[in-house]
Amino acid sequence: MLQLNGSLDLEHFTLKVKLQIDKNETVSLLGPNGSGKSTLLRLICGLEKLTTGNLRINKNIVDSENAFLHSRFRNIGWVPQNQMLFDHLTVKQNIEFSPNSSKKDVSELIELFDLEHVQDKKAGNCSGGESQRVAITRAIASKPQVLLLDEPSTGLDEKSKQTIHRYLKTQKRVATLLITHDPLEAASLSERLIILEKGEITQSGTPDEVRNSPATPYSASLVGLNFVHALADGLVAMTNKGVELILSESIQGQVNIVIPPKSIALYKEKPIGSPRNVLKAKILEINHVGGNVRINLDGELNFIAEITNNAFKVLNLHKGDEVWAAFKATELITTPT
Amino acid sequence: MNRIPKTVVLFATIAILFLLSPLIGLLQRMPWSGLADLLGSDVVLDAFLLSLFVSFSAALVVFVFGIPIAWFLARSNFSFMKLLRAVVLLPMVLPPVVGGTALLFAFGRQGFLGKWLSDWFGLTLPFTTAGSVVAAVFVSMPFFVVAVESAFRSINEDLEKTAETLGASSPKIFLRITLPRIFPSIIAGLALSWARALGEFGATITFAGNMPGETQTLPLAIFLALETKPEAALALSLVMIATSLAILIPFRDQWLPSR
Amino acid sequence: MWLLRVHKRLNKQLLIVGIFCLTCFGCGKEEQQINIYAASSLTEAVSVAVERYEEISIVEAKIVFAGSNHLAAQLRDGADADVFITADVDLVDGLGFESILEGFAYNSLVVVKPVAFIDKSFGPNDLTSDERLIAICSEGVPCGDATKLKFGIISADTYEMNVKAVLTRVASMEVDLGIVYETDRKNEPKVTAAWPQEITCPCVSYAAASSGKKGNDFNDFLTSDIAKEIFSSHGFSL
Repeated sequence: MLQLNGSLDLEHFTLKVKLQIDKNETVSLLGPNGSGKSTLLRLICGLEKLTTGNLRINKNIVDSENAFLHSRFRNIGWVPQNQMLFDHLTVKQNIEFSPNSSKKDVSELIELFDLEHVQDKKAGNCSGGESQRVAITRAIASKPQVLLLDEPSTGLDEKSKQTIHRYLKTQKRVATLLITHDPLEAASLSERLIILEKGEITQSGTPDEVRNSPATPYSASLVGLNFVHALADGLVAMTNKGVELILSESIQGQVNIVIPPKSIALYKEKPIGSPRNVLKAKILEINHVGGNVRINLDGELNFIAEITNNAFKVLNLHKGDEVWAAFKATELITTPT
Repeated sequence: MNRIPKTVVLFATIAILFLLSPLIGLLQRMPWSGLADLLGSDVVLDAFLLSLFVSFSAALVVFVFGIPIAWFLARSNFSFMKLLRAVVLLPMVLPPVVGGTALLFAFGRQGFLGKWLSDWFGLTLPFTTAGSVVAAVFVSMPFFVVAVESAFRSINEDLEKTAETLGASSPKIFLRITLPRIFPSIIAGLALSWARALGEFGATITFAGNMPGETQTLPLAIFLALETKPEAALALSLVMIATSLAILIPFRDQWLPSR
Repeated sequence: MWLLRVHKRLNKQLLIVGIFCLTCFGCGKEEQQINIYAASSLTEAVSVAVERYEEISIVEAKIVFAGSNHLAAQLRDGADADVFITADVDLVDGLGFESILEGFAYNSLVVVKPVAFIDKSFGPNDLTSDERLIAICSEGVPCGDATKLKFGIISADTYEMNVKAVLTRVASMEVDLGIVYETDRKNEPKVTAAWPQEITCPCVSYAAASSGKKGNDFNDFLTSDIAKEIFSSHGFSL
């Protein structure tokens, strides 16, 4: 069980985090590049020291103003972004490196992660997928209290990804914190998501919670939604760029408005009808995703619309075209900030 | 197929010829007929065995003390690091005779350390084989430290930190992770410093003196013979060259501490 | 216009005169320079002698001091000298000098100790004692051969390449005893005779080999009274 409540002063910003991860809980950590995710992992490992606050593992203080337990004694399984395998040792020697590992566990894990056929291969000769699995297996074999995974599936082939996911989902787990850029992976593997932006947690909740009410533009972009801040006065809200949006319910004050891409309809000419928000926009990019088409638009607002393939064909749209985007007030998800 | 540019081949050839020509000159003047007798004489045998003993002893000392120095220089963050590194590398640029004189000031009978050693332990270094070893260590240590320090630096520190999070002790990390990775550089550094120790003249003759069987290593014997019996000097030179080649050729692949 | 032409002509003439002067100066210099190679034990004495010689003749001397063997090796390899003064006359063989002046000065060998060792007394027995640190010249160099002749087997701790090195060892107190020339003992304040000794031979005998008029003239000077006085005041025997 991991409890952290403190801050770490970094070069460009301060990492300020309060979080708790229980045994058997898996939490995904997402955020833009440079927001401090890897540093947070290093902090928990003991490779950095808190500036203020404290960090506890299983109720024992490992980092505070007057205490600091060396990483060697914290019993943490850390899988860094570039695996850090011991290239000159074999796969098996890597996995059994920790003094805490037991022969029985090691052979079980090797089987579980599909590494039998490479166990005597030098770790430096392993493929990307094999390396990642070896790194994770090595960390697990050390019987850690906390498991920290830095982007475990990034750049992996599908089969390796599946193996890793299978383990993380089915086996007896310890408190696990995993960094990922893939919201689907996060949703699939963890009960809780934490979003870190510029060193601060901007949102923490279940995948559904984040999906339904993203708190920041980044959260919204993660789940593929459009997002604006606005000042609402009754049924009308004004964004800071001066765009007026019609709401379905009366509300006052600062609000976050989410516009689901699928709720946006595109027209070649300005449509007439209400109560709808109609904005002029220019097509920046067209992406075919699944059976639909996602179109990046720029105009009074910068947003993404998702329409069906058929609709796309009918409209005969091209990059650079000027279109009208319309969406009903009832489709908007408005939350006060 | 690697095609080396013609200019490069030209310059390389000139350089190699330049380096080879003294060797050819030496071989050309060699008194081949009387060589066997010369080589079997006491002077030559004594100098040869002594040189082997001194150079290998120096290499051992350099190994034992050089690795910690290299580690310290590579990993520490003190503000006077630059100065410390310059001091450690000083013997490399110091004229050897100056080094020998400085060693006398420290370890000679009147030297601040020499006096203490002699009063408390009855140990004198000048005019002894141990003194020759000390002089050899002094001039050859920097070569080893340079090679090994750069190897330490090339290891990603996170590698060792990862090993720490797995719970491994420091000795285990050093022996199983760090050492295997810097091993080629250690070998290259040792070969380089051994060669330097073998050829050491100025510091040895100034600090340890010249005494057949005790401190008269091959370079000293050669220098003396040049004045008194030139054919013996040539024979001794041949012995030195043969010895150097015998040790250095097996290490030809290790010259650059790159993996 | 006219001035310019004259100017040009003047310049040309000056240039020619200048070159002429320079070559003259150059060869003039050659006329007057003499190269002397002398054994290092003669450093002080020969320097003074040469100074006096320069006053009374028109030559300028360039002197090289080093161990006799070292100088002989250089001369063998092609170095050029008008005069070669050595402590070992055999070294002159084969070097191509015209005339040799033998035995114009002698240098006796003496056992010395550091002056600071006032309260330590030594005797001839110490030369064969393992407990004393002793420095002597190496065999093969003149002072080493003479040392062996005069003192026999010595339990030395270091054999130096030339006598100055032995002197330095004693002067710096790195050794207890050293065998050096009488001239060195006399001129080095930091060493003194280890016990009362007679200035006798076997000793080192100096020879001066010369070539060419300049060289021969200098050799003649070495036998003059002025030179003799300089040498004996430095401690040489005549």
